[in-house]
Order: sequence, then C-alpha cells, then structure tokens
Amino acid sequence: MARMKFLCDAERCIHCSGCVTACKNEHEVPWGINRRRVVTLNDGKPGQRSLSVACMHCSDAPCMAVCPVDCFYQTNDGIVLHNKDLCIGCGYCFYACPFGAPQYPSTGNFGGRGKMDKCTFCAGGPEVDHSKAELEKYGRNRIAEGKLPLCAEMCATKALLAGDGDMVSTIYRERVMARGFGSGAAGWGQAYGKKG
Amino acid sequence: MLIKKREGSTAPSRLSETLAAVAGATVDRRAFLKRSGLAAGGAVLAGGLAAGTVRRAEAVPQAPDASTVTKRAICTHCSVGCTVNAEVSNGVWIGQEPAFDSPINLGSHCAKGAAVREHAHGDRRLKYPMKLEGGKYKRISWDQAIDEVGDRLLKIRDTAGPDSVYWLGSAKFSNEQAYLMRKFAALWGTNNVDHQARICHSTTVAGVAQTWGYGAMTNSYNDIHNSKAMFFIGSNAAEAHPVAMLHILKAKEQNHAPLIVCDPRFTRTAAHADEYVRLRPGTDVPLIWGILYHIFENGWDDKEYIRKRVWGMDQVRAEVAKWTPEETERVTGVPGIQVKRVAEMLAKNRPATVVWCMGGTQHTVGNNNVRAYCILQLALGNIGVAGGGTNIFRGHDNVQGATDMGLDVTTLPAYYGLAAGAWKHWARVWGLDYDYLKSRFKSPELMEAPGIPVSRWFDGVNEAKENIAQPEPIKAMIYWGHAPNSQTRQPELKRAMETLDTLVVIDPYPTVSAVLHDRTDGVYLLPAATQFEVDGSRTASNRSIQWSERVIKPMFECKSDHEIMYLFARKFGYAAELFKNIKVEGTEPLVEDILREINRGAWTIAYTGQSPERLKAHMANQQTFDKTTLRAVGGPCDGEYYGLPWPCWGNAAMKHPGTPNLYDTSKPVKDGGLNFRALFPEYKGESLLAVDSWPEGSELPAGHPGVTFGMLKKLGWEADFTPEEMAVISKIGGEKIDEVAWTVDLSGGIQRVAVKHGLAPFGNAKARAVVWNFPDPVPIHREPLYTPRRDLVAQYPTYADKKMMRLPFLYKTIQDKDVSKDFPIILTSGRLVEYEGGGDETRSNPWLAELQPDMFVEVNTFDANNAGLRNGEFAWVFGPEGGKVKVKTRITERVGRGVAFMPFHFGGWYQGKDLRSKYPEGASPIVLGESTNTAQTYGYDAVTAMQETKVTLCRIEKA
Amino acid sequence: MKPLAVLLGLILLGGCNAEERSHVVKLEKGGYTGTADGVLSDATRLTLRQRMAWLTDGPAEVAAGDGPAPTATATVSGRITGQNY
Ligand code: SF4
Ligand code: SF4
Ligand code: SF4
Repeated sequence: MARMKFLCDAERCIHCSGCVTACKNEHEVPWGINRRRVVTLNDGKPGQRSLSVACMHCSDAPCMAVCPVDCFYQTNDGIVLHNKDLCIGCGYCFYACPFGAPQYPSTGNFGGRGKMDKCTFCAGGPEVDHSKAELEKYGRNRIAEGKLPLCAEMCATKALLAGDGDMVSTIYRERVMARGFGSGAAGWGQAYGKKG
Repeated sequence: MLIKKREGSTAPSRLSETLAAVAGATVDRRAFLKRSGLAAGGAVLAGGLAAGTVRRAEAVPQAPDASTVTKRAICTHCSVGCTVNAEVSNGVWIGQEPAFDSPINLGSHCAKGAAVREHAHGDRRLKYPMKLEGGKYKRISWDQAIDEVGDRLLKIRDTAGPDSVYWLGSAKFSNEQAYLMRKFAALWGTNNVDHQARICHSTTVAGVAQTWGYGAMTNSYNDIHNSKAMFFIGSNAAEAHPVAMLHILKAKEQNHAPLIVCDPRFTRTAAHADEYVRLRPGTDVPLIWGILYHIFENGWDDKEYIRKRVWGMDQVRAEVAKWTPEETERVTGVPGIQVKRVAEMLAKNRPATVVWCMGGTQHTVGNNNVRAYCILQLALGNIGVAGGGTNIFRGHDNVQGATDMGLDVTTLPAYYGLAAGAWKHWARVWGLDYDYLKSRFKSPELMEAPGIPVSRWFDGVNEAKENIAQPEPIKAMIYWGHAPNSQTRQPELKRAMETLDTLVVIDPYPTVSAVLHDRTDGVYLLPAATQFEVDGSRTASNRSIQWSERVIKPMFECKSDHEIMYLFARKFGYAAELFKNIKVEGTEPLVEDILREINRGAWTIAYTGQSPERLKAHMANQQTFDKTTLRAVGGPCDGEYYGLPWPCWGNAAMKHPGTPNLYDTSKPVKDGGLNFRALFPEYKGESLLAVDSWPEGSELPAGHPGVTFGMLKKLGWEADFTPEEMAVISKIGGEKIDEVAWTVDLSGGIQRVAVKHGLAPFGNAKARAVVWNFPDPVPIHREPLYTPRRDLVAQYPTYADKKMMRLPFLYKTIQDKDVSKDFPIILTSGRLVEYEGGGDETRSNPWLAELQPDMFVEVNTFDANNAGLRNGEFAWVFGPEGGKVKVKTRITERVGRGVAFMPFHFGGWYQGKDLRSKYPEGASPIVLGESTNTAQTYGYDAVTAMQETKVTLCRIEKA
Repeated sequence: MKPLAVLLGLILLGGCNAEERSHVVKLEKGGYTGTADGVLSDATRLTLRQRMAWLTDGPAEVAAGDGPAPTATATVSGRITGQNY
C-alpha cells in the first residue's frame, strides 16, 4: 500500500475555491482558519495558473522535526496528524512548513495563538474515531469512513487528487499523456522526495 | 536546544519557491500570507463570528449513523444544476457528500455549491415577518403581514387598477412556483410580472427563438465532450459556471479541442484558453462578422447545410463583406491576423460549440449579438450536431425554467404570448372562464399588452404619468426573490422606492431592498423558504428538469413561496380559481399537482411528458445515465435522456425520452431528433420550409409547417387518434376542428401522432439568418450609448428613440451627448465565483464571505498610474449619470487599457455610505459593499429591454 | 521588589490559555507520546482505493490488492465513433 498524497493539477484548477469551502463545510472550520487555500500565479497575465494548497502530509515532515512538544505523528498511511492536547500554539511548525499549512486561531490573551489547526487529510485526530471529541477538535474523520478528503472529492474540475500516491500518479500521468503537456506535480519533490 | 534541525536538511524552501516552478513566477510572501487569511487575522470579520473551535450545537458535522438519510437536492447557485447530496439526521442537515452519480456534476462543486450546507445554520436569514415603522424594522405575525399587505394592495387595485402593483418573481423559484406566480398575476389582472431573465438572457431567448425556434441552450454541458473546438464569447465559465469547466477541460484535453475565449477581460476562463481574444466591449457583432469574413472568403462555410436549412444567408454575406480585417481591427481592436487564425480554427475543427453569457446579452444591441453568434454556427453547419450547437449558459439555477414558465411581461407560460388565443388556451387548462380572466384586467388592451419590464420598473414610477401607457404609475412593488442591486441606475431606483406606496420583500434574506431607500414606513419583509426547504423541479441550462428534494423544513418562520401565494390568493379572494386543479394541504399547495397542470398545458415547448413520477425516477437512478450522451443505458429509465430535456413530446404515457440536442436530424423525433421550427412558413411569397432535410425516419420527407389536426388528416393518419383524443380535439376545435394545432390540443394526440410518423410537431423549416420582424433584420454594429469612440458614432449610430413596453426608450438622445472627455474609461461588470446575483445570500454565508471581503474595481496599471491610484486603496468611480461608488482598487493587467471592471454582487453601501445599521437586527450580510450598478447607466436592448451593463463610461479618482 | 516580580509572573501566566499552563516544553527532541490513533483496516484501505475512481472523469475499474491500480482500464463511457480518446 502506497502512502497518501495530494496533487493539484494546475492545468485544470480554475481557482473556484470549491475545495476551500468543501473543507470548511465538512469540518466547520472557523472564520480565519484556512486548512486549504488556492493561490494564483501570474494573476491577470498569460501563463496564469492556480493551485490549491494545504498540508501535503510530507514524507519527512519539517513540522514534526521542529515541534518542541512533539505533538505530531504520522499514520501508517503517511498522513501527518497532530495532537491538540499537546500543541502549545508556538508557531514553529508554521515557519518550518514549506506550504504554509499550519493555522492558528487568535484566541489567547495578549494576542496569543490558540492551538494549531491544519489539514488532517480528513482523517481526524488521535481521539477515538468518530467520537465527539475528535469531531470538535479535528473535524470529521472521512478516512475511517472509507471516504477520501472532501476537498478532492468535490473539486470542480477534478484537478485536486488525493489518495493512494501511486494511483494519484497514475491518474495524473494518464492525463498528461492525453493532453500532451503538464506543468508538473507542484510541490511533490518538496513533499515526498525525489521518488515522488 | 529548543529546535533540532533535521539531519542534512537545508533551510526549508517556501511554498512560493515551490510554486514558482509551475508558472515561472514568484509569490510575494506577504501577499501570500494575506491571501491565506493569516495576515488579515480575520480583520474583515463583521458581526462577531467567533474564531476558535466553538461549534453550533444543532448542525455539527457528524459521521453518518443509522438515523442519517441522504436527500438529493439541486444546487441553487447556477444553471449547471449540480446535484447536492445532503445528509440529514433527525431533521438536521449534518453533512454534504459528493453526488458522484449525477451525470452533470459527477460529484463536483464550486465554492458556492460546496458551501450550501450553511443553509442549515442560516444565521443571517430573515427570520420572521417584519414591518418598517418609524424607520425601524419591527417583528409582526404572518397573519398581520398578509392582512396589512393584502389590504394595501387591494386598495391600490381598487383606486389605481391592477397594473399599479408590480409582481416581480424570481429565477430562484422552482418551475411550479414560477408557473403559479404567473398564473397568480394573471388572476390579479396584470402583465406586470417579470423575473431576472429580463436582465440576464432575454435577448438570447428572443433572438435565438426567432432564429430557429427555441430560445434555449441547444446541446448540453456534457455534450461539449464531443466538441472539436470551443468558442466562448462574453462567458467566464470558470467563475460563473465552474463545474461546466469539468466538461470543457475534458474536451480540451482529450479532443485537443482549441478553447477560444473572447472577452475584454483576461478572465480565469481565458487563463485556460488556447487563444485569448481581447475585444473592445460592445463590439461583438463586428468581431463575429470579421471571423465570418474569412469563413466566406475561403469557402469554409457549409454550403450544403445552408441550402437545406438556412434562410437569408445571402443578406448576411452582404453585411459581412463590409467587415474587412482592417475595419474589424479598427472597430474591435482585435488584430486582423488573430481574427483570421480564429476563423481557421473554427473552420478546421468541426463541430465547434459556441458559448455565450451575459457578456453578449446585456447590451443595447444584445439581440443583434446573439443572432450573430447563431449565424456563425449556421454558416459552419454546427447546429443540430453533437459537439456543436449554441451552448448558452443561463445564469440562475432555474432561470431557464422560470422563463419557460412565462414569468415574464410578454407571455403566458410556455411562450404562448398574450394574444386572445393564448389566454383562451390557458383558460381551458386552468378550467376557468375566459371572460372571468378578462374581467380581472382593467381593459382587454392591457390584458394583451406586454407589461413594464423589470429592468425599468422604476421608470414606471418615476416617469411622467402621460409617458406611461397604463392608467396609473406603479404604486406597489413586490420584490419576490430578486436583488435590486443587480439593476442599473440605482439612484433612480432608490428614488422610485421612496415614491412607492408599498414595498414588499419576500425573500429568505432582507436584501438590499430593505435598506437602499430612506423610507420610514410602508415596507414589509416576509421570510421565504429556500429551495432546500421545499420540493420542486428546476430546469438546468441544458433543459434537463431535475426534481429537487426537500432537505430540511423551512427554518424560523419562513414559508415556502407557493404557500405565501396561497395565503395572498386567499386574501384576494381567488384561491378557489387559482387552485382549482391543485390540492392544497392546509395552506400548502401540492407541488406535484402544479407540475401536472403544467404538463397539461405547456405543449409549445413540450413540458408535457415530464410528470413528477418520471422526474423522480430519473433522480433516483442517476447512475444509469451516460456521462456524455446523458442517455440511460439499462435500468428503469432505459433510453431516456437525463431530466427529460424539453421538448419531451406528448404526455407522460407516451414516454418520449426528451430531446438532448435540439435540431439534430440524425435521430428520429421519437428518440430526441428534431429540425428547425417553422415559425414563419413563408415570407413575401417565398417558402421558408426546409429543403431536402428532415429528421431521420420522417414519413413526410420534406419541409412542412406546424402540425394541425387537418394536416394529419390530409396525410391519412386520422385513424391513429384514439376516441378520447378525438373527443378533446373536437371539443377544442368545434366547427373548425381542422385548425386545432399541436400547441392547443390538450389531449396530446396531435403531438403523439405526428411523432409516431416521425414529424416534428412544430413544423420543419429553415433557420432564419434574417429576422425581419426585429429592428435590425440582419444584425449590424451599433456603437454603445456611452462610447469612448466618438469617431465611430456617425458611421455606426444607435437607434432612434422609441416607445415600447408601456414606456419611452431613449437611444439617440443619450448617445448624442458626448461625455467621453470627462468619463474616459469604459466600465464593464461581471461575476465572481464566490457570489451569485445580487449576492445577499452568498455574502451572508461565512464560508464564502471570507474569501471575497471587499468590493473592488479592476483598473489597468497604465490607467491607474495616470490617475494616481494605489493598489488596495479606496477609489471613487463616477458614472456619467451622477452615480458614484467607493471601492477598493485592484491594479491589474487582467483588464486592458481604458477598461475598468467591477463585480455586480455587492450591495449594502450607497455612494460611500455603509447601510449596515438599517438592516433588521442580525440579518445583514457579512460582507457589504457598493453596487456597481449605482454607477451604471441608461441603455436597453431594442427588442427586450435588457439592461446595458457591459459598456458604459466612468472616471476613477483616488478617494 | 519580590512581590512585584511574583505578581508580574502571575500576570504573564494569566496571559496563557488555561490548558497551556501545565505543558512541559521538551529541550531534547523525542517522539510522539500522545494518545495513539486508530489504525485503518485493510478493508477500509481497499474502499479508499476504489473510491479514487471518482477522481477521474468517469467510473473506473480498480483492482483489489496492493500496488498501483491500472486506471488504463477505465471505461470512458459514451464515446462517439471516430472520437480520438
Ligand atoms: S483533506 Fe480534509 S482537512 Fe485537509 S484540506 Fe481537504 S477537506 Fe480540509
Ligand atoms: S475545487 Fe478544484 S478547481 Fe476549484 S480551486 Fe479547488 S482545486 Fe482548483
Ligand atoms: S453554483 Fe453551479 S457550478 Fe457551482 S456547485 Fe452550484 S450548480 Fe454547480
């Protein structure tokens, strides 16, 4: 079984933000927190491309390496998750993350940050699957329900692929072959190393 | 040490660098953080949405359990018609799953569709009936509301006549509600009943129908899979119809079909184009003629097709000959070489599909534009073939259906018009006496005269009384599901709202109608249910009719629109007539019964075979429909097309499969084939009937006029009629039984027999490239009323002023005044993906509002620097009629030099003033902003009174 | 001076969220010590893999078991003759 991966096909993404609101809808992510967002490069000029970005669930995750309280863990399927009971909201992981994934609600006094929140690959957290605690802290656990991340499942153009990394590459490769061009699997080298 | 670096890892590269590899550009980190919402820190947060992990108790996401049921509804935000699978547990909408089975969206959604579960919260809804008293909104009961509003309206009816009440319906209605509202207005006694189609695709409906029969999208989103080229003009599908891009990109990738996008703005759709054509706003006809110039010149036109199926192409040729590459470039600004390249692409990649939206329709010459697009396709022989067609993407989720249901000032349901014959037909269907209907109107003339179009209802208040061709001006306005900020000339509209006797808003949200005016009383807000709170059918752009199941009960004190219609009809004393054939349970009319009545009467467009049972079966068996052809393969709906796209001939028992691609002669009519309609069998003695062309399997292999009983008799098919059909036909025809036509035969027998023998009931004629009954029979170029190109005005002048639809219409008077010195920039408007229409609903949804918190104007770098504008700062945009708006500046190359763009979804600010405090408490949208229409100006299509929103002039100054 | 420092310390502490006050900040990097998460069953994994078919343009057949599933066997429905895909 290959690990879980994300891939956003920039030739298809139309910056409709369906993935963003799907995520908010699924997990009731509060205002100000964006587990996923869409960025557009060369906005308004020829060559304009959009990409949907969230935590990539890296093979060798920089956030895990820097967390001072070791609140991160990686599941057998390669999903990088964290424990909000341990998180102290220090923000190191944000600075380490190449994708700017970690997000913090500003709830503390003195403008302090609350617990880090990020994309869970729709796999919840360490609490018992489907428990109330898991829902409230991490959102819905689709993976345990046998469903893939909602952002990818609802993507308007099927630009966003998520799931078994090998299958993701196969689907993408076929697409590139059919159309004869592709702009590369953005972020894959960074997230999953050379073998991508 | 606090941080332990990973062994051998270098400093982590940032996302910006990673992404740079994709497009060869860098993202500035600050800008990136800003976009991610981090730097902003939720500063735009209005109305106290708590950050943190606090959730609402009633609608938390939860894993489905035994109590969970899935309801299948349809997204309410655009005409693509995506299926929404809603998970409901104990009456609470707890989750939304991708609807993979839907052949239309295959599980996909855009930002709006993926956020519709916010309905389960409805925090910012209008929660109970309210009344403006002393400048404050106060809660009242439903009984009081119906009573007070009813009394006021009845008083107006008595003193000023029924035409002084304007019933403005909605494209947000289901078909059943739209139909009921049209009937409701008829019984009230007025034709002043309209909806959004007037200001979105009325020019399309009129222009396209007059060209070849039906004013609707010819093929389907899915059929684009078969296209070998795609030509978009005035359509930004990536933002307005995002899930359509699923099908478009499929054709692009798998057929290598070139995607050509013509738009003054380099849109997100253009970003995916193979060829982006930047034209000057308002020069669509010259561009199309410029393309056709090359097509004719090189003999790329389909001469055989034209001979058989098109009338008047020679007159078009004469006009096109004037549009040499030089002249085209002079007028449109598009390089001659590019025009030629596009022409060649279209010629060499057939079939090509042509797609247009409001960029083409919302012009003073909108009807010319749409007919020019049609003629392009006719010349290429692309109409009536899979992969071809004019795929006109409609706007609202049910604007096609509401148009079909005649929620319109010019017609009764199903395009029957307003002549006595039409009234008699519907009187028969309704089981009412024609004389009774007549008695409801002030006069027989007003009964048959088109009403005042919604685009200009406020002129029906403001105009001098002698200029309005009805007894009294409009005194009461019922905004039933319509955003006022989507109408141009807001200052005029505001003035009218203040002059009215009564203003009623029936809507799930208070809308801008609640706050735009400075009234202190005489305003009522009645909370309506959304389409997720009722059952009903809605028609997607491709004419597929989808049954949308109720997900949750109406929230708060909201009531369904059909229930409110019942309550008013009861108050007005015609509930018995209105619901004669419709069962009413308590105070709620049975939706299925309404659809059955539609089925009994809408023969012209054959909304007759789509019984509630068949539609529900389609929804339940979505997975059996092919994702390209839309045809069911096996299963209970075997052979039928998804949603029974109209025309679905005959009655439901006939089991016609629906018509997936209009005018496709390669199939028998009984399997969804068709030919062009015989609207006019002849002109000045010349026959317009089709030559050597008929649908596969026709037993009358020739052109023919619309089918009548007499014609079928002559063909010897009289024996095919059943005794029941004969009884109905002879009752309708009386002495003149031979004249009973396919449109009025309530038995459906004429359609059944015609289709049985392979005939299209509406006749078989040529498409008309020349529409002689329009102001410009052959579409010609006319400069916009507000044009910066004064040098072209003499050569391409606009129309003379005229009168129609009960009002004076100005053209020359406006164009003659040169304001281009003071207002040098062209102003155009359009859509954003996050919002829809006037935006009251979507701007109230936090998941969407967060993504687009500011109203803005896009200005080209060159113009911005000349005007001293800075990115992100406020600017004033002044319109030439005195309106002005204060908006954020976005400096971009997306718009060309001399062109500015504003989105039209914002409202709640007026000329720099924030109106939030005027909303009923807790019901203001999260995001407010200026409406672009405050600065937008006069200008209406010469046939349909479509408002001009795509070309006006403006001046932009630093605020 | 001393009471003031204590007070200052208390105020600073008050600035933290209640649940953060007892946290031990580790000076040496270690491994995750929090609650263990559940593990996916093979059946769920297979379901997930099959579900990927929906991320292509149409229903595809997905082989069971390990390794990359060939989406080349995907059935693109509704082709018309002569179409080149
Ligand atoms: S995988 Fe789930 S949590 Fe992550 S961005 Fe997508 S929807 Fe949100
Ligand atoms: S839903 Fe898909 S197409 Fe839309 S922004 Fe997200 S990744 Fe791009
Ligand atoms: S707005 Fe249109 S494209 Fe978006 S989900 Fe709704 S129906 Fe689909």
